[in-house]
Amino acid sequence: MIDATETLRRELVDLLPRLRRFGRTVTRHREDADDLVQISIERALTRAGQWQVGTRLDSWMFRIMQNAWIDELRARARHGQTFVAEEEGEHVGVSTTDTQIDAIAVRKAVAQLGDDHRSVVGLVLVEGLPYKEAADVLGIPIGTLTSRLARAREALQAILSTEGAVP
Amino acid sequence: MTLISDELLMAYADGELDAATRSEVERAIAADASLAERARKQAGLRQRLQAAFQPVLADPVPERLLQAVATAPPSNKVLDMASARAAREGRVARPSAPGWAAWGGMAASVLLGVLIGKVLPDASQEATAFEIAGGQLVARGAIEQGLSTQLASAPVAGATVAVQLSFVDKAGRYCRTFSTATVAGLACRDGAHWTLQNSAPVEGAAVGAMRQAASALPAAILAAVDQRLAGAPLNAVAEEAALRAGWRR
Repeated sequence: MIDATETLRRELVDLLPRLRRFGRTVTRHREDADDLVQISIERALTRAGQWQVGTRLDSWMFRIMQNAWIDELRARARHGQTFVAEEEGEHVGVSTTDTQIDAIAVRKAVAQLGDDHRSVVGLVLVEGLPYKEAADVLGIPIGTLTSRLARAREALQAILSTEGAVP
Repeated sequence: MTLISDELLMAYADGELDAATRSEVERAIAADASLAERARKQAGLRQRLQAAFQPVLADPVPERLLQAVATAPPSNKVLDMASARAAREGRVARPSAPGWAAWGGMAASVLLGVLIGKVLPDASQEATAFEIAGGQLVARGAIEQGLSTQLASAPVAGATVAVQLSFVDKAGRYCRTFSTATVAGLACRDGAHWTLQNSAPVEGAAVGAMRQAASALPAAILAAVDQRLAGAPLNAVAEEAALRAGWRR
């Protein structure tokens, strides 16, 4: 007999790599990302009854992460840590092929975006959520989502073209 | 022809258009090279972002996240990032940190196949699994081999011994838990040997044809781990490094 919480745990195990990836996009920092994933798992399991088996777990988890991250940003602001440096020289992988150089440039470009834009980019462009799902995760109207996404894309194109990265 | 905005091209690149609008955009793109270039840029950026963050998926998941999935919520206390960070940096013991005994129950269900390998034991090997050397029980045969060569983070299908956890004990030695179909134990590295610290029979060990290594460790073994664990268990990276170093520190 498997209860809903156990089902949730199983699905969370499979989802962990994507949660960590979204965390990385949002926080720009490896350890912060894992801290964020950890507390979001704890929050999710505390309110396991709110998740309905069969609905999108990724969206539900991204929403919890997004809210937890906003809490963290507010806490940092209260403590005067308004600026949190992005992690320097983060390389996933060791060789330096063109693809990996481009990947580093792209990740750095994303890190230069504002918090609102990073969330949208993470949800739609990296995690591949439909606009409607992404808007629900962020609790914003779909029109706000698409205009943020358009601005974030322009900003990314601008950053990447001035840095002369691989087109 | 309607004017194609950047926002429409963006929605096209993101697969957000209905079939009719999509074919309209495609017709427009086919007829206009500069429009095609703008569409290519939108799609290209999406692809670059996906490629840039793809490697993160292959990054080994840290033990603490698997543990959180398996054991949370230990209490109703909802943590914030500051306490997660403090716990990670070892400044404050997390009040809600679950005891290792919690692994027992969850191992059977959640992390089966993630942390713990299924094995097909050969009962005849257990008779010669240990021998006495220097007053200690030293692992031999399949158990010794399993302890030395298996990664808890990468279970070997079809192996005769399962290894679940690796950690450094308070004496600074590498220690690992293992199980077969009938017995589970904790062994620590002393010089060139794995010496047995604790062992316990596996509850409900079946006597029959197809038997698998215990997926849940007996409470006695978990308690022994709890007692000896110096810090956190090794993550996948640290474990692999330890294996490469021949379990010497």
